[in-house]
Amino acid sequence: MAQRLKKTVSEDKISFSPEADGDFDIVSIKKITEWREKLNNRFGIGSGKLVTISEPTADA
Amino acid sequence: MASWETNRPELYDVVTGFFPETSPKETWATNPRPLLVCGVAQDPETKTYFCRIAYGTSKSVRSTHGSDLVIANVSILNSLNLKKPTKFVIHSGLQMVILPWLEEFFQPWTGYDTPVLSRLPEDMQRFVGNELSLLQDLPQF
Repeated sequence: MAQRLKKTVSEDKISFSPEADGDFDIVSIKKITEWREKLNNRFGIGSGKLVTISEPTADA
Repeated sequence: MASWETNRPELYDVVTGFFPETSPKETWATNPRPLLVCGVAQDPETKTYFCRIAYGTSKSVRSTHGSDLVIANVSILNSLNLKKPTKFVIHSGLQMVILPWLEEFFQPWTGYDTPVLSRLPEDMQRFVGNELSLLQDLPQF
């Protein structure tokens, strides 16, 4: 008698990069602010020299 | 220079890169985390791309600010190539930075040749666009 082969759970598994298992902490605003200031100074961000390519809009 | 640096990331791409960590204290994680592209610009002189970035966290996903983007649905996580429920912190521009699209700040996960993991589905793009358009403190290019 023919038996239907059951699909195993492992066949449905999706493989992820090992990095996807990481624990990604919440970051303090203080730390982000300090970092942003360093980045802005180093790369001239916010000085008007960068040309905007795409910005989020309410009707995106 | 990494070859992907010349390929422009797109608005609402989920990418992988570095962000200051709170644990372990005063160090940076070596594991790049999921990040959300919330704007793109370019330096016309160097041709370097810059992204406004909101970070993703796998902590306190359930207790969240109403305006944050929480992704916990398994099928959506799978489609975005994310394994763990993830919250992208978009409720305040103070939580974001603008980063150059360089390998100093972005790094592909294993198996990828670019830091771009995926792109948000359209309904989530609309949600994020609506939330970001209300913010008065978005970091400016």
